[in-house]
Amino acid sequence: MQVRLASRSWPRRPAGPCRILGALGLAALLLLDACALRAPRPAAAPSEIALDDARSRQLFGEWQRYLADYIDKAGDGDPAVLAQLPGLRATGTLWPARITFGALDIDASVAEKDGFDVQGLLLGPLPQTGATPYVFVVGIVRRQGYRPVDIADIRLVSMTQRGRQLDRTVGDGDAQALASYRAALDRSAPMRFPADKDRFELTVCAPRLCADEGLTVSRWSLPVHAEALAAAPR
Amino acid sequence: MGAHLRHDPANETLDLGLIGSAMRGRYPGLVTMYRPVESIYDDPLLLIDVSKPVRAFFRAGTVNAGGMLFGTDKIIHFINVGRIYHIRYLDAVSKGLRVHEAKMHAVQATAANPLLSEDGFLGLFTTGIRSNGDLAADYAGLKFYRNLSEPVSIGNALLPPMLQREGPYRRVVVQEEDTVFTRFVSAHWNEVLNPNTYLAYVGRRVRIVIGSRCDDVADWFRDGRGQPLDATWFTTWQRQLSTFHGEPYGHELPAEHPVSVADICPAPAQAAAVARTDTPLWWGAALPPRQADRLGRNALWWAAAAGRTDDLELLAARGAVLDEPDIDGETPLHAAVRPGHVRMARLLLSMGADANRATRQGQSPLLLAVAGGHVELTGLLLQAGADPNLQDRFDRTALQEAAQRGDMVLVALLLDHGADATLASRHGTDALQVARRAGHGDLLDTLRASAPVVRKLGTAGGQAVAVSIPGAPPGVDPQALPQR
Repeated sequence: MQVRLASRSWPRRPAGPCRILGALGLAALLLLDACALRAPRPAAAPSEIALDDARSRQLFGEWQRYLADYIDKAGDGDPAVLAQLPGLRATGTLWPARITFGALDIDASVAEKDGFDVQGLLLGPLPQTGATPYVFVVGIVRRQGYRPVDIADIRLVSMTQRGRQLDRTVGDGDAQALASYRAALDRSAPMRFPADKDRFELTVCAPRLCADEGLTVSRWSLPVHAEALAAAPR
Repeated sequence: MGAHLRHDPANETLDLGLIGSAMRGRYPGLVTMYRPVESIYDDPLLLIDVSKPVRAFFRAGTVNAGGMLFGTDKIIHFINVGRIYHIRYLDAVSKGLRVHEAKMHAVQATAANPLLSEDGFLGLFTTGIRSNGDLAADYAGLKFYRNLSEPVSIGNALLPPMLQREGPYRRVVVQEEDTVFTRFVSAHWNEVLNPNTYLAYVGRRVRIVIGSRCDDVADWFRDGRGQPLDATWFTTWQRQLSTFHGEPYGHELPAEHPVSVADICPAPAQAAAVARTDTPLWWGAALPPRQADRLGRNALWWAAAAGRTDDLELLAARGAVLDEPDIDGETPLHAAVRPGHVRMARLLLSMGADANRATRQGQSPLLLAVAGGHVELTGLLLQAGADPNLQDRFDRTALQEAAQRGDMVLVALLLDHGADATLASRHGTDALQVARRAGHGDLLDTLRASAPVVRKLGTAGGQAVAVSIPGAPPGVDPQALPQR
């Protein structure tokens, strides 16, 4: 059977320039679509979802690993290198005297898009007690849609130096303290940890160490060696 | 950085590089780029807004270099467009144009290029933004490339060429490598101070976002008394930044309806007073001398940080507390020492400021002065009774800081005033080890020679154990020396 192609009523193929324009149009639509997915919306609602303990500990562990790595590489194992962070020399920062250490984009599918930023504020090495505990208050900031949306957890974390060894301890989570901290957050300001106004104080709340945040009246605690507790500020 | 940037022609790839695994591995924990909750250029997607895709994909993080805040897109402009400017400049010079004519040719020829111009495809046409900051970064890039082989001036400073010819080669003669980039960075790059021109609908959106951030602006930009700066101050900056230290760089700003902080936040103090109810005493009115702001800083603290000695005298006379620390323990003296205000520090010390007061992390003013490399301030503090052997919370000393910097003058100054080279951090690192680790071999002999003859290493069976160290004079009985 012979088929006469010329007699078929198929639509005529568009001319060259039209095809190019069509392809460009499609590409532009795809691009806009990608932008729609990618661009953050100004009115993104914050989500407050608690992390389970295991997940929190995993994220704090990641942060500790980064910190230990930094002390090892930059300080040859001496945590005093934390007192030489470039931010402490800066004149254009709001809090030059604060020692903070961050690990960004943990478990992010794309940098900045999602995952967690974990930031620690050094509350101080405790007075010399043989082994020196360095105590940080560490916050996990959850990211969604290219923006920080929630303080997912806050805990006290200590690193105790024994020779060249750094022993690590992560305190327990405190849902009530976290809730009162979150409730007092200034939602009009960019979400970050520590917030500009935070005032953490390290105290002894025997048989543990405590960090109190004055403005939000929140408290986190951490078990420490009795020897360190005896030397800690009261 | 140049090698890294060569392969990163776009902001996003640069930002990803800066926060990528390679940089984080190299500077673990230190790469913490500021990421705005909401970019000022984000707005709800409009399908007819062709500039949106470009803005969405070319967002730039904000960084601080040399004390200047700017978007990382300026680095791209500095490196790439600056190079294009330079090629055009060289071309013009080769055709016999004089230097200032060649510079203008480079600016004008790029402005006329439909692709590269801020009015063209990569500027106003696709983003809706004509950035004066970008143009300034382009121009600064021209200065940088010119400075490789010829002296250039930036304001009153004349920078000698960075490369000198030696036969068939060129030798790098840069004195301070860490300022190779920052010496070209200026306030022109900061779009808060140097505002842009926008297409009408983009401008309307940006205007709203700036309006919502007036209190943030008030936080960052303050006068010597800590008061938020007013519109006049921003207008003055705007005017100053319309040229690059007197040289035209293509700046344009429409007189009517400019989208600028000066125009939108005419009274940041009042805006902040409304926005921040937790600090009613500070914002919007002169702070009483004895009261502190939400950062724990009083008016005298801010005057010290800004180096405004007149204000300091006035505030002190009104009863402001001289050593009042902020919530991190930084006193006005710390605030004056950090940026290197010698006159202010001298005045504070003469009024009785405590030269040995430490921050919560134990940093004394002396430690800060040494860390900043301020020789004159270091001498001033030592003369005022600053203890050279004060240790911070890590048991670090000013001498260790000087050793870290590799600064022989500071090391000698501290040793002359009784600094103890054997004091060690909690980890046991002393100044000698710091210098060795930092690769400052030239300091080792000085530090060895200055160290006491013996150092106590510990105790064994109740007896002090001490060893001689190199450089010790012969015949000294270790047990007769004081032990730490």
